[in-house]
Amino acid sequence: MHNRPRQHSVLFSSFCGDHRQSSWRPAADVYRTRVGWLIKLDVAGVRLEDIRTEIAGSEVRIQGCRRDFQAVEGCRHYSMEISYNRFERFILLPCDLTGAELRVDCFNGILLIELITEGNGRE
Amino acid sequence: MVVSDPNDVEILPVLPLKNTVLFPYLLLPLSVDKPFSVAAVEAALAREDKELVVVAQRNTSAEVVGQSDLYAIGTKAVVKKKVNQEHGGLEVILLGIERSVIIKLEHADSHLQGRVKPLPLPEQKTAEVEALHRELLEMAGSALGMTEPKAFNEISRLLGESKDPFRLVYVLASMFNMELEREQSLLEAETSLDALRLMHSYLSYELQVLELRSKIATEAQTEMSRQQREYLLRQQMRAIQQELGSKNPEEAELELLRERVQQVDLPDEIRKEVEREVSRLDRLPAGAPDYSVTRTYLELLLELPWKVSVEGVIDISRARQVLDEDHYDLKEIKERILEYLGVLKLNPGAKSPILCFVGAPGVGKTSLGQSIARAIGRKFERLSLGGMHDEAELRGHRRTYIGAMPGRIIQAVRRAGVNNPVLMLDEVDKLGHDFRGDPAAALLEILDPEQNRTFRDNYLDLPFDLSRIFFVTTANTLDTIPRPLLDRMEVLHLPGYSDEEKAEIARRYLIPRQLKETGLSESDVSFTREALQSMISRYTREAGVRQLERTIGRVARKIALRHAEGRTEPVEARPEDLLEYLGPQRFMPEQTRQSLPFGVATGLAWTEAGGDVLYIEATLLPGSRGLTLTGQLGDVMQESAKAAQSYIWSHAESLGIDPALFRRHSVHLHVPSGATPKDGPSAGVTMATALASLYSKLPVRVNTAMTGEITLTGLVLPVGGIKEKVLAAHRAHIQRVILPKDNERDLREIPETVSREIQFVFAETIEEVLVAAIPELNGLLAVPRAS
Repeated sequence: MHNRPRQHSVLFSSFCGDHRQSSWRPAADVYRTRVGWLIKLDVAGVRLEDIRTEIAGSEVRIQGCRRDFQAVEGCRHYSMEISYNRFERFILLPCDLTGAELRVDCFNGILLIELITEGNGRE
Repeated sequence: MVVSDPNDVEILPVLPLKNTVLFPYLLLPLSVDKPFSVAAVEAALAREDKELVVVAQRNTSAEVVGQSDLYAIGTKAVVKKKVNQEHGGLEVILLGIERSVIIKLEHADSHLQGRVKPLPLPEQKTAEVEALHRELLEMAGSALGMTEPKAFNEISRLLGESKDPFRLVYVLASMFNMELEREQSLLEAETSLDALRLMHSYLSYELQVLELRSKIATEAQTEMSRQQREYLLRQQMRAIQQELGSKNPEEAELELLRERVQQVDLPDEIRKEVEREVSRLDRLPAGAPDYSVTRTYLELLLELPWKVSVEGVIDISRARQVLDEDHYDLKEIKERILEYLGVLKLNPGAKSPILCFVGAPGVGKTSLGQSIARAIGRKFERLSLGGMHDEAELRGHRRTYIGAMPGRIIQAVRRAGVNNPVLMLDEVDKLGHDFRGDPAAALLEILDPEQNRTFRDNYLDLPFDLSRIFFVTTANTLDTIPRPLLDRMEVLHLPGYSDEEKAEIARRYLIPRQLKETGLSESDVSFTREALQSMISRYTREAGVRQLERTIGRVARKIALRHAEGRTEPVEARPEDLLEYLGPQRFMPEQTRQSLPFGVATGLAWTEAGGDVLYIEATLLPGSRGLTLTGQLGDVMQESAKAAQSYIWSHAESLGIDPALFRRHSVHLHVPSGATPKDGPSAGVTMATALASLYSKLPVRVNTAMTGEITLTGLVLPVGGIKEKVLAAHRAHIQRVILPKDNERDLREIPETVSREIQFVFAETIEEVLVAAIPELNGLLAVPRAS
């Protein structure tokens, strides 16, 4: 019919889930701590104020937006691999997080989300 | 969740797309070459959010100048990846994010940009949406089963996971290559219900097309796979044969043919043709219809005896011995055959004669042909022409016809395996002819020594020399043989056998043969001379000896039965025993009339079964003049009767007949036996004698029979069949026979035993006949040379 690219050829490999209007998914490591949970999120280059974190039941939802910046004045992209624009990441944990304490910090471009459930949440 | 405000108007670079629509949620790898498109991507990359708007072009061939060249609704997309290409273009991967509408299109420095407003997709949860959603999933499942059978499971699982109807529609739209207008209308659908309905109608159409395509493909494949299977099996067979060290059958066959071509001695012209055909065969695939035709043809060429002939030393005395062993009497024919052998001995290249044996059934024509072959040491082949009515049977069909075969002549030569056999063409007088041609005409060429040297069979299509074949034809009568054909043959009449000859033949050949067939020995049975005579004259009536042989066979079987029952004493068959063996006598011997009233004369007739004595009766009727003829007389015989009457009338005075008789009376002439058709001129003298006797009221001599043709002036002309007629007269105990003078020479054929007992009178004129037949006329007629 037409000699045009098949959209679904890369469709399922990088983009899944029922989320609207997000363009990428940051990689995440989840740790169990003595007091609760620690989530590391690879969101280098994302300003802290562009990140929004919330808890819904046993799910942690992290949404945000990576904006590009010009490292050197007047430069142009030669090639581009980093994903920009909106991202979101929903992480389901095996316990109810309602009432858990949430601490967000940023270290060397890795977002650290600490969930303290000890005394509050139940496993 | 970051959701754009519908009222937010952004200014974004615009990337026009040809032939395709980017849907939200989907990735699109894209090559970007055009400068203003590259500039649009660069502008997007310069933005911190990497966003641009992708819109389909309305007219794919034209350049984008204004807003009207683009659809209004497009998709906001993020550039996910960008790679520079060598020739200056870009490879980008775009991810659709959000449906957007371009409110205003503007020209930036080097690219297009637009004021863009997002178009959110409202969620709808109605039963209809749900139903359509499920229906679409099902249809997509069956469509995917046809297009992507390998990835079917994974894709359908992923489709099933999606709960968003828009997302399902967009994914399906991108999977089934649909027209741009359809994709655009899906993108423009405002509600999920609209989008699902549109998709449903498109997909059902696609499904029909797919089903049709797969049906066509299956049909084509079934045909293909059958052929491929056969091909594969053949290849395998070939491989196995090669592995076993044998060649494939066609090659082996060809090799065999080539070997035979080398071995067979062929004339140069034929060899050239054979080699041409072999190389043609080599080029033909074995499955080609021409292959077997050519092969069969080649086999014929190689089998035909182009140069093979039987060259025995001709031994005249041995040949004479063989002929005498096989046949009793037939002096003239044996002489003719021996003459030819003498010629052949002196001049081996002499043309073979073409003999035609004519005679009644059972006189030994066919067996004489076999005898000739035996006598001269040649192969014998025989084919019957009786009832043949298709010229192609003799001359073959051209090879272009399916199932074509060579003609009977070439087939007979092939069977004989030599080019100089004795070829007997039986029943040449019984050739038919119809719209398919006249086989007699084909025989003209075959039997003409001048032409048959280069006889061309239609199938063979090469000249074959028939001139060395010794042709013998047989016929019961010459009347039905076309003149030109008869002209080419040397006619030899085989007369009927006399009773004495039959007895001799029976004793020499028939009795031993029948005894052998019934398993009796010669010491078991013997036939007395009288018994044999009785069987010949009272149980059979024929010129040949077939019936006689059957009669002997019947007696032999009766005796064999007696032997089988244990009564093994030798039997001598005597005339009085025949009643027991054969039943009552079939034929009474011809009763010689002891006295003849006037108006009756004894004639002699020739029939196919030999000769016969017949009495011609004439009577005067009062009343009108005229001549009534009865007794199944043919035209010639009727005319002969009229000539006889006219002669008698014109010579009434000299015969002492009152001319008034002719005026006052009519004549009825009858020839018994009334049921047998009769024809020919030979009863002329008999009818004239009967009429003379009638008018003169003087009886004809008893025991005097006559034959001969008369003319109006009273001449007696010679007739045929003298031997049979004389033999018949002899059987009827007639002592005087009046014959035309010119037939005197035929008496040589008559056995001594017969001619000794009969007094012959030879007449040149009817007066001489009348004087000899009616003694009282002697004084009236002045005949100078009465015998």
